[in-house]
Amino acid sequence: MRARKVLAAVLALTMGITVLSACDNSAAGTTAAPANKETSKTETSGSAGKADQYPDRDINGDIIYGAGGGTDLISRAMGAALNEVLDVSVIMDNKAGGSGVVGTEYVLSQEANGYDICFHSEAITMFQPMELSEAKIDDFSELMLYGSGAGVLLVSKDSPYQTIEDLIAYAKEHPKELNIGNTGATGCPTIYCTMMQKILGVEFNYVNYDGDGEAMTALMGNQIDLFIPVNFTAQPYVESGDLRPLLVFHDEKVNGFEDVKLATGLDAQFQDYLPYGPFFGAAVSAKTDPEIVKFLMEKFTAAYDTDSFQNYLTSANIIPTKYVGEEAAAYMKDAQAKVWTLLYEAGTTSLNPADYGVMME
Amino acid sequence: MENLFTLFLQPELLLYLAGGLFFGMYAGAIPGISVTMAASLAISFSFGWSPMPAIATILGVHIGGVYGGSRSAILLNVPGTPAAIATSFDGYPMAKKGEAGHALTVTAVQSVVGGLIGALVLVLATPLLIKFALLFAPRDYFMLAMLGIFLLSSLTGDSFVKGMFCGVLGMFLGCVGMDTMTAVNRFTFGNVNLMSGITSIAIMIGTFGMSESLFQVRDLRNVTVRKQKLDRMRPSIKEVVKYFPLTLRCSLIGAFVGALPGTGGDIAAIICYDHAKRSVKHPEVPFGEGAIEGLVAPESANNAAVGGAYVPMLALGIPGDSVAAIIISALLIHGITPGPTLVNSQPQMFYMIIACIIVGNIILLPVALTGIKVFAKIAETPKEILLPIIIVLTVIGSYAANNNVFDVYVMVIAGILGYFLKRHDFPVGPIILGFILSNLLELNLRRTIAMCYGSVSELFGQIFTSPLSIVLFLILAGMLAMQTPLKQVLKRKEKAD
Repeated sequence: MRARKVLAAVLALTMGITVLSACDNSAAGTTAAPANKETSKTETSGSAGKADQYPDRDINGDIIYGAGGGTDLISRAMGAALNEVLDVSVIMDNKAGGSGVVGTEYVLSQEANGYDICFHSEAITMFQPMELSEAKIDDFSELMLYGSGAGVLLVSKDSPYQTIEDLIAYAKEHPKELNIGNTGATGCPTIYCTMMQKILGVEFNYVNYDGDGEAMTALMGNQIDLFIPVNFTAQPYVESGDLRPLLVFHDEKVNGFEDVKLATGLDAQFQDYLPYGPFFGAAVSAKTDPEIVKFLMEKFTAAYDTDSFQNYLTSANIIPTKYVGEEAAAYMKDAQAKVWTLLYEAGTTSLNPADYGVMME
Repeated sequence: MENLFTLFLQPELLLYLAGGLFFGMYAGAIPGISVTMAASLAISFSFGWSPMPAIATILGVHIGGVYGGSRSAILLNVPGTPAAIATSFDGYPMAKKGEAGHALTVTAVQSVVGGLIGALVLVLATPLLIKFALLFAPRDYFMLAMLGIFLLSSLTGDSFVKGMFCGVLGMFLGCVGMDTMTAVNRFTFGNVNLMSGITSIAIMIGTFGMSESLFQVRDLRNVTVRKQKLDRMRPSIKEVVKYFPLTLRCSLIGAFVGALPGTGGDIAAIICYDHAKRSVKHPEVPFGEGAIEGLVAPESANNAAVGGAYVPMLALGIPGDSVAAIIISALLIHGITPGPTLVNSQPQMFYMIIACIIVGNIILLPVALTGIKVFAKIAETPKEILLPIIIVLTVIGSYAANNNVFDVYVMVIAGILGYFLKRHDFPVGPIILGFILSNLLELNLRRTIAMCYGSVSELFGQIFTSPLSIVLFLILAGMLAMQTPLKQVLKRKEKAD
């Protein structure tokens, strides 16, 4: 009996220790790396300076949103394209939470050795204005932006408004009467609506939904009067005729919506804010060795040009965007300036962008 | 129409479907792995396959997993998946009496029948149901959620006050997180992991899995391992016919609830369990002690909800529940855009999905009846061995949800909390129900207020001009009225006559 108790105690202790040690998630060079397709060299933990041997093991791709979402899908498409141009594999993983904060902060907390790439969306531009995280755009070396979208104003097929001018005219005479769906204070629909309020002087009544899908359903059921999703989400519903597009928030024609009026054509003031929309890109920590960053930028550009990725962009109706390195960082900062200004004027944030040296051009 | 037979023209798809069923069933039966998790596993597995086998597998996982959760619910009082919570209410008492074999057979048969009815609804009623689902305004969702809150009273057991406390506790826990409308952090204490709210799987595994294990550990010496009666294991047609009216009602309710975007098998099962309690006045065995009706209702409902969940998915590309959402991602990964254009752009895939759901439910019967003997024996395993295994599985399951250790901490805390609640006879079922309904209730209330411009008269105007809203409102008012002294007066009058 005594022996059994001792044995049980020892086993329990062993199990406890293994469980606790396995819980340690940060795999920065301490766990055995999976075998590569080519040679398996000795791994160099803390290889921040060993740029010439990079990459010598598989790279972690950390997606800041959950599986199945827009960010996830384009990130995985890019990951698959990268596997074609790299000798090692890029292992994609979702680190979702906190509107993108969890994944971003995770990448910044890892060693800056180029083995953790942050696959992100425009969510990063929201962190500072909305005080979601200490992470800033400058904490990253932006590798590339490879896709973007533009907002499309939709009404249901039973809607009495045939043109955008009809809608605006009615909205002006009946402020805050028309219901507009939105997906949160920092979501793109809200940003576009704020643009409209500022430039055209119209006011709508916000009805909040958890995501594009819910708002689209509500629009189809005539629960709300209009909604402004991004073009690639809107496409199937416009094609099937369930919803009608009245306006495109872009400065040039968007595939699939060629006949729809452009916002810049409606009022020239939109030119200051557009193009603006969701965008997708990848970055590594700013502390990463510049040689490694340069290498990754080349590989991302090559991956972008592959047929498989271009096919994905076409089939998903995502606007091809090609900004690398410095250009990408400048694009992001410009986008942040626009959205921060709008959020500040809408009263959503109390932080004045001017206090942080963030100015719109 | 010949597309409907794609499934038979490519018989290897049937193998993928059956494989998914097996995997889903056993994964769903393991406490700690929910059907959503099993489906996510299946998606990563099938990433490199061609679209049709991948989708067939995941559909199989969905159907099998929803059934599979009932196994551990019956044998261990630990639901394998949220949809099986209501199954444990009468399933576990049956196992304690040694009737696990019979219980497992009943759930298998009812799941198949319910699933087939759900599939039938999917095929015949999709256009109608979709029109209906689109009519659901936020005020209707709000009333539906209120209905769910009223149902808390069914789960309270002996003490109404304790049950209500747990329900409100669950609703409170559902409030934690960042509010999407105003980006205000509620009770997150600056912790990034709480910004998207408490992970529901972690709470569920904790309050049901971990707490039950801890509770049973305490009584280790008192628990006598009952030998399970392994007779009555062939499904009896007589039994199916006997309970068919209940099965039919619950399956229809289940299919409908599943079709509403945002509600799934878990809510359907609880609604139908309550319905069974109200409609079956004199069960052979009282509810909560092993009533067969208590198994029939939730199991047929949750499998019917599977069929229902694909109604909005196929018609509009909007998921009816979380696994349908995973199927949408699977389609997107394979380059197929779900949505209203799917039936025209990819008719093969569209009809294959429908065929899989129908055939999958048929194949479920033999698959579900396998391993019943083996599983029944699991209930006879000494607890000293079984409980530590379950605890390990709960840790794995809660970690696997988001690859986040934080969820494990949440699960453990929920488990300890649940343990103390159970010790003092607090029912833990209402916690989960409150938690699930909290978002539905609050978000739709706020939308309703926005849409009636904050005016109560406008709200009632909107309610009374919509037939759907009127019906829901009357049901709610009726349920309330039934609880007031008015009912006692009416009852007394009845007795006097």
